[in-house]
Amino acid sequence: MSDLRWEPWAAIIAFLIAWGYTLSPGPYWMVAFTFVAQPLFLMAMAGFIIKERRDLSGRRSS
Amino acid sequence: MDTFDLVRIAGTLICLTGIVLCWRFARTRVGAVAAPRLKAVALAGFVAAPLGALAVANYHTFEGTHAVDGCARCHVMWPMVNDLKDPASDSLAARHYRQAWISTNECYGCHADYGWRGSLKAKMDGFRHLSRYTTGTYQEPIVFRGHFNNGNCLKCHAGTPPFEQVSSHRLAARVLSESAMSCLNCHGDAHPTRAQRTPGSSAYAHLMEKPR
Amino acid sequence: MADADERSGWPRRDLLRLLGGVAAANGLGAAGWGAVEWLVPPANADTWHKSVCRFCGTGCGVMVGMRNGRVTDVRGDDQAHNAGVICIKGSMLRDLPSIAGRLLTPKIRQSGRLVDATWDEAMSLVARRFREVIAASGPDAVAFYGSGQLFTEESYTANKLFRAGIRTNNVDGNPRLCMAAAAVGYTQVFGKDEPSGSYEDIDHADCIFIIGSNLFECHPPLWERVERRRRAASHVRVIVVDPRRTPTAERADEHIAPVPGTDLLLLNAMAQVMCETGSIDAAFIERHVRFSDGTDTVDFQAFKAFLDRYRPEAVEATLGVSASVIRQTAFHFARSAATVSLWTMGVNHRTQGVFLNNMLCGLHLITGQIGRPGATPFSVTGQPNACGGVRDTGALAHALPNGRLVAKPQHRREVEDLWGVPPGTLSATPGFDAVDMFGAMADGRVQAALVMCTNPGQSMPNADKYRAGMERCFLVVAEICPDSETARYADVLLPASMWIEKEGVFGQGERRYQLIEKLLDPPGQARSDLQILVDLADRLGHGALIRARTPEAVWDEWREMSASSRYNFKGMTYARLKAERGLQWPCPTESHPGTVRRYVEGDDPFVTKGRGIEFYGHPDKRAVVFLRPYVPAPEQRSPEAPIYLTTGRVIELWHTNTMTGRVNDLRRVDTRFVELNDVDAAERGIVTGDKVEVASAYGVLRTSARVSASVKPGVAFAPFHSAQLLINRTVTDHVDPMSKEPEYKLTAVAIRKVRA
Repeated sequence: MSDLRWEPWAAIIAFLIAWGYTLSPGPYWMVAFTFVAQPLFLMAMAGFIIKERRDLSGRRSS
Repeated sequence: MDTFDLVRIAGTLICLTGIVLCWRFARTRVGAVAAPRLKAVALAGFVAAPLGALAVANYHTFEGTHAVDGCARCHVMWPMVNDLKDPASDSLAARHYRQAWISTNECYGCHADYGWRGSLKAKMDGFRHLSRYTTGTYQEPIVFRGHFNNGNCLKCHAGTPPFEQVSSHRLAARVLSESAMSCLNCHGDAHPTRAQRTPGSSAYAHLMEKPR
Repeated sequence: MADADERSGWPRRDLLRLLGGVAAANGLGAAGWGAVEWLVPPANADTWHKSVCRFCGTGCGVMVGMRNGRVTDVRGDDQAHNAGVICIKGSMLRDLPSIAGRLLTPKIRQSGRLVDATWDEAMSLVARRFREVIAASGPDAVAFYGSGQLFTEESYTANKLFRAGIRTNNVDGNPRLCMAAAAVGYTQVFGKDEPSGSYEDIDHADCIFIIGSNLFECHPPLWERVERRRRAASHVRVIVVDPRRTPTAERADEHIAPVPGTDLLLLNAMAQVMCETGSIDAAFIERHVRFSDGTDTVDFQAFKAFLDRYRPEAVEATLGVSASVIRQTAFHFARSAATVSLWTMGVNHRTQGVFLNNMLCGLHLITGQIGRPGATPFSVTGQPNACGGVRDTGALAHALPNGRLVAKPQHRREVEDLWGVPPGTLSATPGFDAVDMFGAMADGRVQAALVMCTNPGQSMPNADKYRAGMERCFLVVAEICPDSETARYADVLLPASMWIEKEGVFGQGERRYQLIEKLLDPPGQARSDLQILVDLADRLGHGALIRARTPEAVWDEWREMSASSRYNFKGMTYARLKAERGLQWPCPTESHPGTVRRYVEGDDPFVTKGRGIEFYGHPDKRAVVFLRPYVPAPEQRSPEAPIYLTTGRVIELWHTNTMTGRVNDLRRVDTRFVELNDVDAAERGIVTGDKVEVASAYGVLRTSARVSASVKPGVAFAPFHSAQLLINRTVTDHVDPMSKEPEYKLTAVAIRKVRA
């Protein structure tokens, strides 16, 4: 779980956009959510999962 | 309280929670060996909360777009929505709305073709509309692309006694089902005309008022 | 490197990955956008063109969609008066240019068969025969029979050629068979022909009185307009007077079904009630109305005295409508805030057609239901260009352009001046009207005739008699197909172009002139009727008279001429007609917007300032209310012929079906039937589908029966679309003595089952 540098920021930005979208689902928020927030979420999740698995396998091997 | 309000509340809760959780990790670097409780927080912040946010927010994308209010979020749709809700309008859309012939999601009811293919097509149309609208690559008055699928009328009207009793419907069954001849030819405009929706026309200002 | 990473917390690598991810998502989105743009199914057409429907007198604006030079779709024009609404026939215009079986080459009859010929051969023959007949028997031995479906430019040119070139007044046309009663009726009342109101009046009416009109089937967009008014205002009352329970009558608030032929009793009785109950506008009468018994002016008291014999109780038995219904109808008509009357063939196809037209206008005049939004007597027109093309150009045997009359020397002088021909050129003898014209063919007084854009072989009443005339006469027929009932008698058959294969103006029922632009070339060697007429004029030596040779040139000549009259539409240039969805005359200048309501100040440019309403058609500026006595029709039911046959239409087909009968989706409509009441059918042992014989004093035919409660006992109905049925074989040719219009709506017949 180390090295979580950008993942939190990506997730935070995505959460802010998602929040804005749920409050006011207009076309511009929809575009921002679909093409910015969603990729950021997916990358943050992927980044976290990859690093966590690496940590877990690293501990087992160490 | 309706679904829309629930979505707002849930979205707010989930997103704020996620922001708080992720902030913890944004401000402080974490060592390779972290406490189990911290791992749980991380899991919540990086997986659970985003999944929750995705689910809640996508409600708008997949369900909210079916509602009349969803269409009304783009101002080029305001003439259609205003006309729809105008008790004095004689357009087909207004008459259907006024008489509650379609119980809910009135725009979607006529603009989504039947079945899963229809829903897919509606999504594709919606995506195209979104792309054009947000990039400003459209011109007023907006014009229907392709041709309207009569199936949207026939799915409710065909087979009913008043429909079948009209000799012209029986005669024109083929051209109607192929959408080669529009139902609107005999039954009039569904929405305000292009002329009315052209900037500068006498009806434009009134049609472009923000819908209530 | 690690230290730098730790300090910044944002390795460039990661940042690039992040941005790359977002960029990739956007790239996918853009690709997706491109895909959905490409996947949208195409519209039916690439280009759209403003035009006008080819069919009825509603004169709907249409948009013609084209792709690769072919018509691929037709929609209603939502900027035209019909607000985008057309009917099934108009929708099928998309197939009209490509119908099979078009006449492609001229043909000459040799040894009983039509053989192909060149244009020069055909027209040389025509010109030679015409010259021979004129030389041997005089100009009145030739005739022109035109149509309310020719372009105005064509009717105008034919009129000029025959009257001022050939010098005969034997110029008539099929509007004689449909609108003559209205033309004469309006002219008698107002001094000028044509409705004073507009379709827009339907939008403001509170009482809509429909008589002798199956609007739902015959003018569907006008019916839709009535329905639109009803939806907008729930108090609107629609009253339909028709012996048949048509789809229009079914949808009325009240259906009144008089005995066929007696409806003048209803109108006179309504007037009697209005006078008796004081439901009249005395001030309006005082200012704007004169009463006449047809010969002399009389006063209002004489009018009331005349109406005494038409008390509801006195007429109800003959009329078949109860006195209380008559009184209620009179009440609604007179007392509604605004009343529109709409009528068409049920009123015009009558020996009392002119009287009926007079009285319908009269009801509006005595109640003041005229000259304001929603209040007008509106005669609905059958054909797309009966008004503009024939009535207004004066292409009728008794008439001259712009409302003038052959019988008036002053009018003949005016037209001679306007046409630049010497005084005395125009014959003083009115020509043959349609029935007399074909009768004159039968007995040899007319020996050569040009028939354009119409099918009298099927549409003339007492058909066999007049078909014999067509057989005997040297008949030149301009047609789109080689097998119409008239083409079978043609000595020369000329292939004509139609609709958007040529350019010209149609003038529909609300005084609106609309331009049809040429969008296609005609098939084969077909030519426009204007080209045929110009060619004929040249070959007959009248080329100098017919100076205008293109549609626009003819139009300009005609609109200049109109400036000499109150039918003035000089302001309607082709340029304006191209830009607008038609214009309503009077329209005297290019900046005038057109006239929605005639005789109304501020709208009609000819009304004297300060007068408000002025019926300027008569010298005394008054409209005339006539005392018109009911005369029973010549055809009366008898024990031998106990049923009244009436003829009409169905929504899907047009006239003699030469066009709609070739459209794939419409040709399946089978109109080879006679509809009779279930009581009458039971008495005769007839069920639907049985073969029956229909016999009148004029002819006998056999067809299928259709049993229906929509006709009353003693009434039968047959559409006239089918050439195989040719119902007009049995229909009377009695005419209105004033309008010369035949009484298609009333023939006494016997119907019996034919044993197989």
